[in-house]
Amino acid sequence: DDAADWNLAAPAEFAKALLANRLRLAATAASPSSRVGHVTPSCLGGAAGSAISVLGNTKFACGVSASVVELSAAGTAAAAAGCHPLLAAGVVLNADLPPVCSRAFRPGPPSDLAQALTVQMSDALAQSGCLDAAQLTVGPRHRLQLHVDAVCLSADGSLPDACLLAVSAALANLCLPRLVVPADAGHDDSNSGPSVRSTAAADVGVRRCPSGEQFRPAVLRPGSAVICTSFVAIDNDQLLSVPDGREEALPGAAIVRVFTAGGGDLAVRVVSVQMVGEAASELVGRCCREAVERHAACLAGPLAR
Amino acid sequence: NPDSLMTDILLNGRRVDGRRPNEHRLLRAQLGTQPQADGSALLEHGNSRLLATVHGPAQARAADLSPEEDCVLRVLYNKPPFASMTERRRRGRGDRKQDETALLIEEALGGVVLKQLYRRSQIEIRVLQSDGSELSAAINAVSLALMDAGVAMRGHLAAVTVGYCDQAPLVDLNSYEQSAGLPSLTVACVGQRVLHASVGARLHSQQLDPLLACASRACACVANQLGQDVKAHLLAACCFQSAA
Repeated sequence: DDAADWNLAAPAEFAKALLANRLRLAATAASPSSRVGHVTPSCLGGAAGSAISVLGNTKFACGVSASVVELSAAGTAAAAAGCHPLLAAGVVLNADLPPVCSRAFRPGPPSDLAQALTVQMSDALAQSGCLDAAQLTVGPRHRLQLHVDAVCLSADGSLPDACLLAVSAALANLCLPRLVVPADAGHDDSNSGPSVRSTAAADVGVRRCPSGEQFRPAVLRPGSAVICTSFVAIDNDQLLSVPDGREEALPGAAIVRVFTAGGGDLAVRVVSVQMVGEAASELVGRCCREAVERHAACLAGPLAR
Repeated sequence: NPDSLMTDILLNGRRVDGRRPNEHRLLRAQLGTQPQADGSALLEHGNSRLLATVHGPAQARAADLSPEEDCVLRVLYNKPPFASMTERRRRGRGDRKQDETALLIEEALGGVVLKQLYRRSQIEIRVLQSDGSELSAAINAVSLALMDAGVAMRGHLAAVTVGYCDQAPLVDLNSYEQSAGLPSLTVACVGQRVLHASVGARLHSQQLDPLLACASRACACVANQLGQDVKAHLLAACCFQSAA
């Protein structure tokens, strides 16, 4: 690969040429809203909700599976106090970067990057205000617990961008069998077991509706999404949006990731900003404005239903 | 009750999904889906979709080298948690089955890759699977990815899982039939040579020969079908090169 050889021999010149080329391309494309990627919803038959997102060379597959858990009143309060708010709402998020997506990842326990990605996305979803936990209740004592697994198929920069696109789309097209709770399914609270027990649906008496009807819980408020836009700031001056792997690794670059949430009835707002490296505040402000524009473009484009 | 089980699986000569006993599911392959890997393939096998990538040959780590300085093939097999709706979600790692599958694929490949051409090097094959579970689909995907990477092989390694129901062999079991506990055999072969055979449930010794014969024929068909996809990919690549 000629580019790789050039990079090895003269990294500084290669970086300058890459930047010049990219800025030329960016000038013609005119805005980060044009790099929104592509989402294929409901593509995996085995999952309750699924989506595959493609952003340049970065691809993520997200699947959602659901199980029924039983709550006890005392345990709920304790659990809500101690654990992550997303977990308290009933959504367990996990991002996986398996060895297939890139040469850099070895098999074994989740790498630091995978864990950081999981935490970033969980925080963004929890603080977004788009999550409607009430949709997950089933009867007075039971609740649906959603396991959202995002698996990277190909990693080439802007990982949270592609990952959140897939997660938003997968949560938007959840399709579950309707459940029926028998009226006398009561347990005494003095039971000293763990507060939230995960059991098969048959054990707790919650059954599928015999008609096989399905329902779509709107876990994300209709029309809304949580999206991340990454930027790379070079020398406090130039800004590249939605960078790929080579651009994220440019020397002297600061990476700014803006998480935005909203859409539908909710106004689009910036939920959090994460930075690696230094960048001037005007630049961060510009990133936020462009991220909000891109959010609207994503809602209109790949996430439109 | 075994009789009712058999009628569940095979009713009026048709299986659960409407196939006849000797029909394979839809097979479609795309090569070169991940440009940053040396070789990659996306295989659609009925409802399953498998992605296999090949990295290498590259320099082997000292710990992996065997004394004969032969080529080291490592297969990493990973199945995401949402892949099949019927299995319960695994807590923690639960990787034993995946490690075993990876080992079986490595052994099958050992007989087909020309290892002496790649001394002291390592070819890493990574398989990610979604929506279904079959060892044979994984082997098919891996051999396609190796072809895309240009790794020298003796021939096209194709695999198929056959089962036995009511004195008739069934070609290409789907997950319903596999979980029903039919006697099954997964066979991988190159041409006439059988490189890998593993038995799924209990198999009577008298059923083995007809099943092996059926499986070999089915492997030849699978190799033929996938070979057409490979040829189409190569032709498209050649046209692109000559036009550019």
